Amino acid sequence: MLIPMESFHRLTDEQLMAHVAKGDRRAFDWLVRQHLPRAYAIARRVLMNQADAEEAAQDAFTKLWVHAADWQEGKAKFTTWMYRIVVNASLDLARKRKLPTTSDETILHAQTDGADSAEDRVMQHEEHTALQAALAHLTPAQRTAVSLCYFEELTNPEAARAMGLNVKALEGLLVRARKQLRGLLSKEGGQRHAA
Amino acid sequence: MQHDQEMNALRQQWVVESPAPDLADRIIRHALAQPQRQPFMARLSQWLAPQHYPTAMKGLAFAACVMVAVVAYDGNRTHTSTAKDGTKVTYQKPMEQIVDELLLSDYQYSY
Repeated sequence: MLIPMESFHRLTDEQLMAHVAKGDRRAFDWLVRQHLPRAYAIARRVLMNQADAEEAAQDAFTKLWVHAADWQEGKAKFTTWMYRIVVNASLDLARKRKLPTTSDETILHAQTDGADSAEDRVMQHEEHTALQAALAHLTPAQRTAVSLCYFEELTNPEAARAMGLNVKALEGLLVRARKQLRGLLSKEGGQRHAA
Repeated sequence: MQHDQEMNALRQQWVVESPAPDLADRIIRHALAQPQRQPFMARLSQWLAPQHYPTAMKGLAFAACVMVAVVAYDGNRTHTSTAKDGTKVTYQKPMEQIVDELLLSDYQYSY
């Protein structure tokens, strides 16, 4: 039996997913609109490219619809399952694209609101460019770990589950990512000051 | 402490744009065009449903025969017998003997 759309907001993601598993298209529509921003943000940070992030998000939600019957209510949180699908779709695409390392001009929005002079804006732009280049040097798995732990604020065990890793392996990725970012940014900073 | 500051700085600077306004519609349209897959057990029971029964049974029977033949052939390929003078002879059994043994035949082979 179809439930009225007005009551969707009262249902948990898990209950909605149970309806999706029974083929309820409206429940799927609702879930996509609710979770697309987070799914897209993860894919965007992993792939560092808008078109690829859109493709990964599309793949992930298509899998979610096609394999909805595999999801078992009570076995896992919906978000954990969704993160897992999004991460897999993003990493699969990163492998297909052979780990893009080119910097992406659009990934960082220059936050110039607080900048009151042209000099400040130039400084900010340089910092953003440096960060962008440093992030492009991380592997997709490292960017995934950073994205899940620092942006989606998942706990380490949750992030590890979403990536299909054990907690130690995830912590290793985070440590290496931080070390690499610190190294790259301090090198960039030094070069800028020298110039 | 330093780690927290670094991560806060990263959080402030690594901002990604919102998804395109029509992305949700595109995704929903694309996904809903695909048929939903049923779980394995549901597919199996559908396959064994009365309208599919003859085909399903033929398939299962054939698969069982192949499996039995492979197991039997692998497990009974060689036989070692001891001659009167104590010499041990190992020989490869012919397929007929393997099949016969499998079917518990009393047929005696002479070599």
